[in-house]
Amino acid sequence: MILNQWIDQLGDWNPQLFRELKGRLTVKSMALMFLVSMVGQSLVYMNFESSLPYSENSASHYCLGGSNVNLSSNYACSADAAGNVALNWPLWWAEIFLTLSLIGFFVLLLGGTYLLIQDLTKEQKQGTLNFVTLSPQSATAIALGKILGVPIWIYGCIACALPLHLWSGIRGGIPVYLILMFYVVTATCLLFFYGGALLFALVSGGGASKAWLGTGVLFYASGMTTLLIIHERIHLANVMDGVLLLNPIHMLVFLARSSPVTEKMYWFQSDSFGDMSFFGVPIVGGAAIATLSHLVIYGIGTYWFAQAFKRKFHNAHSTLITKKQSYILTILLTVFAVGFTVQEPYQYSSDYNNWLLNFTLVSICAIFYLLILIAALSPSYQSIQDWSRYHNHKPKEWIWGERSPAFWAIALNGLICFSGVAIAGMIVMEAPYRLPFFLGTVMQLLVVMLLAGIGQSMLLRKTKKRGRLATASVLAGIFLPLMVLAIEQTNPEFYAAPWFWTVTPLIAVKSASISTVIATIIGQTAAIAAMNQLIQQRIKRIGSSELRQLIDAQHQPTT
Amino acid sequence: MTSKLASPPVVDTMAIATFNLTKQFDRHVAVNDVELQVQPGEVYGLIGPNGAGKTTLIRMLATAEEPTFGEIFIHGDRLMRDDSNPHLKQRLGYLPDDFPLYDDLTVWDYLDYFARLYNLRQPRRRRRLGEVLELVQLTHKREDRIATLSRGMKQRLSLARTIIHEPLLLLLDEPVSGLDPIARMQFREIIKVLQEAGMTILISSHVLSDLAELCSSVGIMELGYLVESTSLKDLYQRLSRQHLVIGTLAHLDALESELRHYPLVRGWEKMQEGDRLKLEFDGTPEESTTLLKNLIEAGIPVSEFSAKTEDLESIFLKLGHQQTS
Repeated sequence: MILNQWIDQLGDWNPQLFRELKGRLTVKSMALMFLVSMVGQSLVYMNFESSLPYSENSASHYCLGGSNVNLSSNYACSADAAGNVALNWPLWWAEIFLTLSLIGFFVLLLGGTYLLIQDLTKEQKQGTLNFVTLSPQSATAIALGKILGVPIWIYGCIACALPLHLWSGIRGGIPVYLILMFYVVTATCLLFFYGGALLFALVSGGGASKAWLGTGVLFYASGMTTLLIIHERIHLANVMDGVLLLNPIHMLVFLARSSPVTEKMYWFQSDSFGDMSFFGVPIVGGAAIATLSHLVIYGIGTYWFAQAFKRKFHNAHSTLITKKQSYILTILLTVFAVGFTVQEPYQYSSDYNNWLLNFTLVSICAIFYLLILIAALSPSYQSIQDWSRYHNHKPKEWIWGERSPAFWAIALNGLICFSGVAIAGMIVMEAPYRLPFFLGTVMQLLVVMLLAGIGQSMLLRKTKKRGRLATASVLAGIFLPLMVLAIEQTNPEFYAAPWFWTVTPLIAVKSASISTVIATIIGQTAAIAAMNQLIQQRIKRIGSSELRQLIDAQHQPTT
Repeated sequence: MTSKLASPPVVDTMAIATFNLTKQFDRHVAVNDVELQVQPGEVYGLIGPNGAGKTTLIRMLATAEEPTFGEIFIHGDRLMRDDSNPHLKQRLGYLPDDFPLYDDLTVWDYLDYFARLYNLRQPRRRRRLGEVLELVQLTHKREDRIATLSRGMKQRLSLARTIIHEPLLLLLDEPVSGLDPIARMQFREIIKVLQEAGMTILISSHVLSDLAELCSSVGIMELGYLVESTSLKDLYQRLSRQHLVIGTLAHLDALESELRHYPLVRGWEKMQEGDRLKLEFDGTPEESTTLLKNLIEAGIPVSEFSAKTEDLESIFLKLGHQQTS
């Protein structure tokens, strides 16, 4: 009865939350949640208890007073007069706290992501989502209801474990305010990833395996970054630092180090995160500023997921974002990526080759971002057909139009991206390297435009598998030249020209003559012009009337 | 977003007004330049063969499909397919020909959920839920899970969901398909109640007898075009021929020789059962009375004399359309 009243009140605030809780929250399911959580907590507790020494003759990580007996930081145990082994209880509790934090985070992240993707996919498949989209509720209200309601069993389990988590943290000497900060960062992180999961479910085709795919990719990425954060003692001093910051486990470094027993802990000994900077400004030096950095990153990310979700929710055939939004997003991401790229190369002196590593990495990230953007900005075949037939084709339409093909918008986004990279590189590099770097960046942009052109022309084909064809062609355009050059063992220092047609012209540009570079740029520009011509022709043909197609077909020579 | 200023003046008085509404799927034009106008309070029947574009037109009106070209106005407001016009969505109720439901919810919780989606607050929500359950005769099933309902009940529950927020415009796409005669009759009765409540209803169906009973106007679609859009009364007047059925106790030859003297009788055919003739008669009701009087005066023992008009299905077929039902 009380449960129903509670759901009723929540439902007044968010109808979608009402639906999710009504279908899931019963007294029986709540009892089950409690039971599962208790079993999980007991297992963790018992595991730690079993690692405690039982006599003073043993050696343990948790013993006090003895000497270090081996490299694994086990200590010989000592006992008081009554024979009680002297133990480092704060360390024991702190490690329980950290273990629970990691388990809780992964259960929430992966379990919630899986459930959300699966739920939305099911609603799409059954057709029930259509009625929800036709209601006057906003897309964000529906998404919020889903995020809060669908993983309610997981929230319930975690909520039952919170008392032990908090208690272990306090007993481990970790300040409560830091624990609360960790909760806030984790909650915003989950909002960000859950938003991404809902968007993924809404846009991706495929069936039941979608939830496994999404969760699998997230598991791999979050697992790798977590391992890096727990065990590595260095940050990466390049754009990948930004990816590391997407993982809130990073906050546990501050929590672990705030404990009086921090030196004796196995994990979270990283001491160089404080060196991580964004345009030279340290952004994770202290817990407060790190929290702020996380909140800003998750906040901006969630906003963009929400924008895309809103568009797709109301119209499944619309592009993920508008062209105007893409330019703003590209500016933001360029600033974000370049901010981490201009960190002083970590272990080496800042010569051209080391800077080159950072800038090649950011350029490759830019290429993959722009390729994703092709998918995000390309209207459906039907939309292009309608646009070609019923709208004018002024240049303004190509840059801003909702239904126009994405080719020139990708070019503009590429220009924004690589302008940022080029400007940053020219500032941080020494004078002799500036011109080669600039020319290398220009070629990088031209290669991206060529790839975008290939992808776009494939998307304009009449076949139903045009999406797969475009993906395969673009991936072939990226990897085939690299594979051929690797098999042929073509050294970029001696044979630079072929490398200029790959996605990494930057690594070869320093050793090439200026005439080779200029000739390549002219060749690439000509190829882009030809590609543009091909795209224009295809669009014209797609939009032509049935009568025109019939006449054209009759005039074509028979083979 | 509304664009009242830019819209032609006629749209303000119309429940539905479409201009150049076109929907193209690849090379196939499903809806072609449709200009539909429906008055408030009307029950408008949309008929046409399969593939004529009825469902696509209704889906566009319900914002479930985006037009390739053209504009839609609902009670004077321009219909857009985003979240910029929640007040317009509040006015629409759409029942598609399939009706997916949440099997894990009870009947009451399902309607409660949609009432909340359409911003109904207590105590109005509880009252409205009671009203619609009573209207669709599912009050006794309110605590049952949806999975346990029959097809007819699920159809009625879907209709209840569609009208829970008292929409001004109800769009029903093949609402009685797959229902048995009793369920169909129940559904018809509900529609009549909604009509009396003042809702504008646009309904597509292959069961033309149902439409003839319910509708005040009809539109005929073929190959994506709205080839006819008029009031039912006007349609009958223009296209329905009057028939007279005359029965006699004597031999039919006497009756036939007498009828040859009347130019208003264009022809006749013998009916299978009994000694009766079915006449094609061009005259007015007064002239048919005169005919009866003359037949009696001529000594024909008339046992039956009735006037009948063609039904909607006959008119539809006569127009050269083929109806699949």
